[in-house]
Amino acid sequence: MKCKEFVFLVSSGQMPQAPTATRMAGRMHRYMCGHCRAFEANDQALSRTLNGMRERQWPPVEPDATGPTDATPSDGAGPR
Amino acid sequence: MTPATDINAWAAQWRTPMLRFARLHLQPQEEAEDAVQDALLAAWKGMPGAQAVDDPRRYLFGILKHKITDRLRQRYRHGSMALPTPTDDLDDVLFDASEHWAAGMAPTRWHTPDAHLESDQFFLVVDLCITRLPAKAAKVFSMKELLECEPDDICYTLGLSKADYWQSMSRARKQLQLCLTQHWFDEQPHRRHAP
Repeated sequence: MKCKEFVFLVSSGQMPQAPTATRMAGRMHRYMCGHCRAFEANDQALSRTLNGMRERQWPPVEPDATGPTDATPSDGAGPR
Repeated sequence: MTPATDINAWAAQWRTPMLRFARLHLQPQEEAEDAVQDALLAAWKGMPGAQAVDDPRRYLFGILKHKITDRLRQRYRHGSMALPTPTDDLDDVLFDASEHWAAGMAPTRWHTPDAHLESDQFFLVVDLCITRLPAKAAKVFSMKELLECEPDDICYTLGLSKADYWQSMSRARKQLQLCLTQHWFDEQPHRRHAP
């Protein structure tokens, strides 16, 4: 397996579901190539970063204090 | 407290952050606002069951993600927005003719990447790197990693083959790793580890 293929399989997310022979070839390549080991480690760190980003996209437990800029129904009549 | 009063209170508390989230995925602003209104309406309609909801934040945002995905499906399946394929090939930069890392392009391991997860500045750089992705890769990446859509759903919504999906995800993640290396990890006082 060449670096380009290894990097493609890792970055596209296909490696875990790849056929056994492909995963074994990937394992051997990872063993031999320090740069691809680094790429894979960084890709895993990127996944953890994106987890953190998703958590940050959710608002904080305390909601935004500024409130809406347009009027909302206040007479209990339900949404417009 | 009546269901209508509940939804009014929820709307007052969560509308602004919901709109902020919707604007990450929908343009123009009016479309994002419509998605938020649709979500609040759906939450109100589901109110009898929702009264037992412990976490209104996750309840409302779960509905909002579905409304955003529905709108993206309508937009792309009806062909109102085609996604251009990037004309540059990042692989030509990263790899040589023998498909090994090109000179000067081989990555080295990021130094303590998890230590930056509390840094607002770091996430500003991550966001900037995401905005630099080519349109198709950005859309696939955003739906997968930020909206948490399944690959089959993304392919259906965007009219992509599985091969297209894999190419786009690979492009996005390779480019993001390169961007974060150049604009964050190479700038840090403790330089990168050797592999």
